[in-house]
Amino acid sequence: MSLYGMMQTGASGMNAQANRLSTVADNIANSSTPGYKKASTAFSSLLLPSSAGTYNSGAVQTSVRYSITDAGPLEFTTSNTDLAIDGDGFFIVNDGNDSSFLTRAGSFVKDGDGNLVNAAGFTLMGYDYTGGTPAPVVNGFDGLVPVNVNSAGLTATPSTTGLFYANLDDSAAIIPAADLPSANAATAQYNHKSSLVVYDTVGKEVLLDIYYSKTADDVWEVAIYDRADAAPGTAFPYGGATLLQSQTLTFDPALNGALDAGSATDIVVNVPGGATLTIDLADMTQLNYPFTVDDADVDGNAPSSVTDVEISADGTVYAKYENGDLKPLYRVALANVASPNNLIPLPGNVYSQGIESGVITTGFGGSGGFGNIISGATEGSNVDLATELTDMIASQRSYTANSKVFQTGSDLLDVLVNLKR
Amino acid sequence: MSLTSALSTAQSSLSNYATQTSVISRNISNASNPDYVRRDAVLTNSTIGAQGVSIQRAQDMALFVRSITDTSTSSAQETLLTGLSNLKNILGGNDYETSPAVLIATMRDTLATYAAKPGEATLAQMAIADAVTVANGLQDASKSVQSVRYEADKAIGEQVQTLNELLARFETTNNKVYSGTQTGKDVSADLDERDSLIKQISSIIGVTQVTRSGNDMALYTSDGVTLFETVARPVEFETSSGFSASLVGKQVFIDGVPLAAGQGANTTGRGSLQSLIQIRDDYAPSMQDHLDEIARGLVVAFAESDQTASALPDQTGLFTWSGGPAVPVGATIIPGIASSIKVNPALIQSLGGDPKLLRDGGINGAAYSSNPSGASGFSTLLDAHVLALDEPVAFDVAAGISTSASILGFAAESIGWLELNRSDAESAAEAREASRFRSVEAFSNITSVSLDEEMSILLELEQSYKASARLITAVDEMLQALLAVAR
Repeated sequence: MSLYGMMQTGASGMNAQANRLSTVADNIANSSTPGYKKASTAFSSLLLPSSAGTYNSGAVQTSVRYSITDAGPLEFTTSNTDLAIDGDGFFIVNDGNDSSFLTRAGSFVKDGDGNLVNAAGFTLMGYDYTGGTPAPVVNGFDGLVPVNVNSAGLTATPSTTGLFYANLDDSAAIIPAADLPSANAATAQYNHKSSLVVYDTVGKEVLLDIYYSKTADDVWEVAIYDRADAAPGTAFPYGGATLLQSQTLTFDPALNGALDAGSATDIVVNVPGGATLTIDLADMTQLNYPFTVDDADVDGNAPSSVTDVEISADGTVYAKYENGDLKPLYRVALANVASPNNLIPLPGNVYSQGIESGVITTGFGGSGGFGNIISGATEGSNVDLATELTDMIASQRSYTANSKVFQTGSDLLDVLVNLKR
Repeated sequence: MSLTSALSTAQSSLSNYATQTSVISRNISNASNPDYVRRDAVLTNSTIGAQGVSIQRAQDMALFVRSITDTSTSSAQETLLTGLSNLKNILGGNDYETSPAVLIATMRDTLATYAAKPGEATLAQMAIADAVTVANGLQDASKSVQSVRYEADKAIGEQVQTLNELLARFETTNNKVYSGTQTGKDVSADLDERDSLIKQISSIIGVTQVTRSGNDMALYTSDGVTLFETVARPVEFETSSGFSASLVGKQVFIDGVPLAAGQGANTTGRGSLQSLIQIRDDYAPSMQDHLDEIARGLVVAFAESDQTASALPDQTGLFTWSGGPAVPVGATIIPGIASSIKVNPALIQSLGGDPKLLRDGGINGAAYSSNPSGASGFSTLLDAHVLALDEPVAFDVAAGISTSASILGFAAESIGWLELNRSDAESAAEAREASRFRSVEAFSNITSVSLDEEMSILLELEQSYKASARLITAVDEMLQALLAVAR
């Protein structure tokens, strides 16, 4: 009923549109900021009591919303420490003052200390592998440490398991007991020989000579020696600690030359200076076909330095060694809340838990409702320029209309004042 | 979000097409490289909706294994044929004019002429000269056989060195492939190099390959001996500085196991190394045995026996040797006798000898003379010599051919033996080369670059690239239209 009220309503409309234009301005400015989530405005009306014959114009109330759950497009990069989450969840980052925040901005780079820091200066947090495979603390940030990719030095792994599958020639000659390789005599004979490289505890290569000798029909002896014990250019007799291990294999012709049910299926060797190595022989065969190796493999590796880091989909940060082996160092933790859109945005594309958002739960990528972590990509801003520009135009027109309401009120007041001359 | 995502999709497809074009250009630039395996850049949709390019090699493992096996057998046969041809060259050209068989036959004819006219001193000179030619021919042949062995030995030394170098390079390349595969890099170029190294190794020695986790590879010889497993195994060999009939060449050790020689003219060897060992330790020594048996036969055939009743031992006659004047006893090979056989200096006029002793005997003293009166018409001894060359004699079974034949027959049989082996080796070489050619062709049909195909793909890519670029222009125009509204 009052012209003043109408002018106030116009002013509140202009204010609301100014708010909307501010969010548009922010959105456009951050349209290429990784992990930026667009802000939008929602309006609601505020009414004053009116009666049947009178209308008191009210005002418009602005509430600001953030489209935090709306994922931005993935932008692929060439850095493998650029991370994105495909699905729900947030990275847990630390500002350096022991305050943890959530973020989707994953353009991490290694800083001088080896920590992974994103463009806003926040450090990526994860669980450490030094105490074994980590388990997340579901409802808090306890146990999280900065992910440091400098921490892995030289490592060597001794060989513990291996396999050797080959066919032994059924038609090979039987070797007299005194000349078997296990007797380590100068006159030793063998039917087949092979060798395997294994690693001792300091990662030194140890070459094991493996002799296969037929002792009777369908019975073979496997004897293992350390090559280092042999004088250069000769084999038998081996000096030093002599025979490392021997084993008897029995084959069953009725099973297509496979090992007999009662036969040993592996050989256990104490590698000189290394661990106990079990070589699986379960798939050995004895057929009338020349000696052929089907498969031979041993684990363990020589000392090697870290060349790079690799981050897998479940967030495990692997150190990549020169020889191509991968060793887990950290596991990147993810966090989520019941209502992500109600998180409190803070500068630097980070969010903190608020009353509306619900409690933080933590977990790992790819499990428990958390998305996969993608290495070599960042999540782009979820702002669409076209939408923002159309919003801006609409907002501009709306602002003009509100200003016209205000102006009309002002003009009418002018008329009213001029009634009395 | 739609316009922005349209932009970013167009952008990623531009980069995908660029990757595909670079793969095509690499294919085209390697169109004539036999070790290059064609790559296909295939567009893939990842689960996150983004498109990516994965590079696939057009590898066919079965055909590759086939082609390297055929390379080994063909290379082995080729090497054996070269060795046998070298041995054949010792005997002269197509008519074997420098072979002992031909030289001995000439000498026999001259002796027969002399026997018809035992009084002619010139004929005695001619017969002696022919005998010198026979002795020199045997010595030269023996020397040449040993030089064939020496050359084979040197070639083994060189190939062992090459093999060790190839294995060392294999180690480097295999490590690159392994670590590249672990970290998801494109290892196509390293795989090409590794395959090319396997091809080169297979021409020296037959290999079988075992692929282990992470694209790591282990190599074994066709006998199952480890060549490469994480590290290269040493291949050890020492060359000998010279060869004689009694010297045995040193063995090649691979990972401590001696490498066996190939067997037979259609050799069982895989790769040139086994064939070289076969030439050095089998064919050339056999030929040396034949020459030694011929030389021993000649020394025995022309030996003089005691003509009085004093039972003096037989002594060497026209032909003598390093063990002379004693005469070899029994049908046993005397190693190296062919390299020391010579005409008895007592018969050579220029050395102060008397050629007439050929007719009369008595080179070893009057007791051995069959014609003590010196009658100029005496031809009994000469006739006996001529006949002896055609009489069957016992030969050592170890020589591998007849145990009872005339010297001339044995010499001819030796040529036959060599020629048979050589022609067998030649036909086997042709068959194996044809088989190798076929399998290499089949392999390259799968793996080599077809220019027509690449060009047509290139045209498609060009169109797609243009379409993506057009998309970017369109989005740009749309945004501009919007900006024009917001004045």
